[in-house]
Amino acid sequence: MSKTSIQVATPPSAGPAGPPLQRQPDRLRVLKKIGQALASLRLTVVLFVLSMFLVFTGTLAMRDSGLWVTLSGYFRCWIAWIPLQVFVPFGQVFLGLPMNLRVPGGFYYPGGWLLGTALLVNLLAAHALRFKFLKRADRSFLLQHAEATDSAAMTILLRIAHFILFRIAWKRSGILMIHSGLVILMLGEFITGKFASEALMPIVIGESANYLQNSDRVELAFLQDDPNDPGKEHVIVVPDQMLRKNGVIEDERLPFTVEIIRFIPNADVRKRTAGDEAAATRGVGVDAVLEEQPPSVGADSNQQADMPGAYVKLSDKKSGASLGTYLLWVYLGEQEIGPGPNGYRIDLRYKRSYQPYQIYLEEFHHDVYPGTEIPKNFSSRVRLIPEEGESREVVIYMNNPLRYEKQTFYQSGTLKADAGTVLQVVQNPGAEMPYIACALVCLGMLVHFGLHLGSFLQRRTES
Amino acid sequence: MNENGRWLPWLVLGGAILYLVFKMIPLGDSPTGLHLQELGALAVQDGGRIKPFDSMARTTLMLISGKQDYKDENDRTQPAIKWVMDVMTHKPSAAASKVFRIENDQVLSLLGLQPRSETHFRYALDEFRDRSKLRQLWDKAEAAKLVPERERDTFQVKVIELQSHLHLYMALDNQFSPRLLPPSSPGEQDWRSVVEAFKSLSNPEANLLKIAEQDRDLAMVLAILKAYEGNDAKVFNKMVAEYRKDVDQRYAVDTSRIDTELFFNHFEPFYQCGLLYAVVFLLSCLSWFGWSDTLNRSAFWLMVVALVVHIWALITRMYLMDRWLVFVTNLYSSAVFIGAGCALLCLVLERLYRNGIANLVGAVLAGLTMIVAQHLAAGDTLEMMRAVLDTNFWLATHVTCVTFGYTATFVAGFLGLVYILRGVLTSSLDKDMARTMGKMIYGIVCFATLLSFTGTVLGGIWADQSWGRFWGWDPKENGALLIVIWNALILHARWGGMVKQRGMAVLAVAGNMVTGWSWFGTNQLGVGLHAYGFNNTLATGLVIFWVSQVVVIALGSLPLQRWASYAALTAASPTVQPESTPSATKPTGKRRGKRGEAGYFPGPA
Repeated sequence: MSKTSIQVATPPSAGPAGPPLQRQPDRLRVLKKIGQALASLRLTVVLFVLSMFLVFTGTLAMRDSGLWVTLSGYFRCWIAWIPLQVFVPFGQVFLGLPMNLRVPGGFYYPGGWLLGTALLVNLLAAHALRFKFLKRADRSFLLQHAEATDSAAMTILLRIAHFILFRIAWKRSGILMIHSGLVILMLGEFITGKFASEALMPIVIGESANYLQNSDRVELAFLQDDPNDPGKEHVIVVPDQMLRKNGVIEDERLPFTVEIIRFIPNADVRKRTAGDEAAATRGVGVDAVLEEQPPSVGADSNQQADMPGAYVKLSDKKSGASLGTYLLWVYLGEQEIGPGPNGYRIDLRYKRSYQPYQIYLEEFHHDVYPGTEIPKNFSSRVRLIPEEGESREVVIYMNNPLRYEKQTFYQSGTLKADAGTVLQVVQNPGAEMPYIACALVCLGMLVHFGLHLGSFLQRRTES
Repeated sequence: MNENGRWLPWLVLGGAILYLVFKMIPLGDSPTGLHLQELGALAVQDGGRIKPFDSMARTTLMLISGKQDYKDENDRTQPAIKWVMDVMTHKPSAAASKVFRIENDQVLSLLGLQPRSETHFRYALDEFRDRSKLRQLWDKAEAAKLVPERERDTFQVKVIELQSHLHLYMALDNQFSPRLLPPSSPGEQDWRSVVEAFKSLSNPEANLLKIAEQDRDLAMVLAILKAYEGNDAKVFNKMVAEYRKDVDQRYAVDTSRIDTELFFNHFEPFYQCGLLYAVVFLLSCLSWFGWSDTLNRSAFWLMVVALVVHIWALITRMYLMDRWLVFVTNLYSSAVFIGAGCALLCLVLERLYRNGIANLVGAVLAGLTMIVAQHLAAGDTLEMMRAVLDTNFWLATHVTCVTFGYTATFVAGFLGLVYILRGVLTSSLDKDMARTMGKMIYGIVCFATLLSFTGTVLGGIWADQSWGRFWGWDPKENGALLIVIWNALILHARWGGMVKQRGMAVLAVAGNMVTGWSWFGTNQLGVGLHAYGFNNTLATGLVIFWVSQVVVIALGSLPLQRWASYAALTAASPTVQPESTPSATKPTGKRRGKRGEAGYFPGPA
């Protein structure tokens, strides 16, 4: 920014504040220079350009790699790797590049967190170094009260009020509000990126669910009914990362060894035809095969999640005898393991996390506009049953979520053939921050631009 | 001001109003012929809402032929409803009218047709009604449907498109469409087509009287069709009037909406606005050659008239959809809304500065958006909103605000464009003019920043309310974010003295490119929640737009010695270093003028 260059270029006495530069020791001068560079508007503009390029390439990347991959690879990281292939779809849509074009290579680029932090530093440095506070009204009635009162909280409040009212020029107050709002906004996005969680809760009509389902992870569950308590079942799960590296899994709680013969991150099930090798030997998948699918795109208009499948071989721990190879797939449901020990069932399913409440789905509606297939509304009438305390009935529909404890339940989708509802359950400790931030920024802009407009109109009428 | 020209604004104003009134006069049916206008007023259910038969006919024909009327086999222009009735009653003229628009070479050769520009690539069904050719077309279309949507090439897209047009034709031909008959029982919501009603008869009969005993509505509609087929005007007119009155009364059809929509269809307000904006543009251009004050005033008042019609049309659309304050529901409506916004903003600017520039920019932008809208108008532009979008509050706030942000960014960009073109190509950009235009651009950029930020944020809040993600990094959201950052960049670059008037003009033109991307580009990628309209013409149009803006930016970045205005200025007073001409890239280290407009942080005393 020009001011920086002026201050470096002009005689030291022209500096806005502080003692003349000659008197300063060298180290201080260097520090000041660094500070001024960090605070410069030139840096702001450069960071803006860098951010725009990142947002643009991130948008392009979403076409082929989906929302979540893009989020973690571009926006919620320190350094992003941008493959050149990202630009190909743009060329295909707009410039008529061939559809099968593949471009190797790529480059490193500052990620969202790095740019965000840099903008934050730039902003804070600018305010710290260049923001001048008014000298007038050093001793306002507010300060006098602050000194007189005993309550610490009151003192702080009065001091803040004094600061806002008497130390900040009105002309700058808009800028200050805008910038503090932006700081909160960026922090909010950081907190969301770090701590927020999203999960799904599918419920069939007339049934209840007490778990959230995370569709980017799966687990291999072994289930066994509790012989003493008919309603209960014991569950042993093998987590996602163990499944993805094929191999043998043993656990003392399981009476058999588990061999993951093949794990397919996104698969479809089809009927076995003459050409196919028979992979599964037991269970419902004997006459079927898994067909590998390309990874689905998260930001696709139909928002499909990957549907993993696997071939899993079980063998008896003691005798080593095979208990069969099973074809497992996330939508296939539980399969009996047998004939074998103690009536175990096996299921490959999306990762579940159990909750201290149940939600019972009483009714589900999927309305369309008359005479068309265009969806008009989805709504679920549910009963929220906490572990302790009263249950209550709630209707969740589009744009009208249920907020309970720290979670928010949104109407998200429907099960096949409208058999039930899918709720999206979000927990985000930073959820309120954007609201505060936006109010501050919008107000700040109104003040700042309003003052400009006011003085402009005044000058116009004067001339 | 020229004393002789005083009458001109009044003349222009009066002429425009006369023209509009003339266009408003309804056509009316001839007393002896078939009452097609009255037929058009019948209520039908189409696309999820009740609308006049006339609208349904227009949108169907629009989809197939790209126009709302057509030329019959005798080359006479006819209303869409006549064509629909001809198809429904299997008249030979239906298949002989050239309505199918087929432009793709490969599709044409598949059907054995020659490219024919004199009928604007429109063909009659008779020309390609050949069993084996249609079979081929069907096979190709079905094969193309198996290809994922975003991987289809132009031929595949066009083949599927033509097949869907033939489906529309067949639906009319088989009387599966339109849904002219009210629900059979009061609790039902779905209206019925002739075929549906006929199939649900407990005792299907050919005799109209017997049908009337079971389903009076069906008997009436069949009688109307029969009278039309036999060209029996007397019976036809009587039956149509009776049926209309009967249905409107029994099913409490909102006749005032139907009538308004009929008037809207007939008046074509957006088309009339487009014409008026074109005249405003001409007047503004003429003003450079003399009589500038009076011509500018004429242009100003003409734009006021155009804007009144424009806003009336927007309000009427909201009334027809019964969604107040919801200006924008799809890409088409965003285009017409942006047009009105540009005109409004420019009128305000013109009022403030009175230099004719805002007139010109407003007319160009409003006219261009009308053309864009014309290309986006496929099918019913008053479509129903999908579930998650079906909320008037957020549509009215977020969408309106964001779209207005686009509007302001475009206005700033086109002001920048005028600045550059004037400066480089003419000698008319003197010091004062440069300063004034700089102020105009700066003010609009401030406005654009405010609106686009607020709009984007409101979108975030909506997203948080409806699926718990304040910022979903959706392509359209990202596009809006780009606009916000770009506007903020312009402001910071100016506040930091990195750019002055010229640099700001160049940056503002680049803002056009960013906005173009955000408005249409993101949709073309076919990803995300806002992916509601891929369109080949749009993609091409967008590329042309980008290229044109790059050319202007290149012009704007030419060394000042090449600027015609700079040459004129230095010739006039060689010692003057014009304020309009600091380099965009090299900081001068000089603080610019008054603190009130430019002050950001207090500078050195």
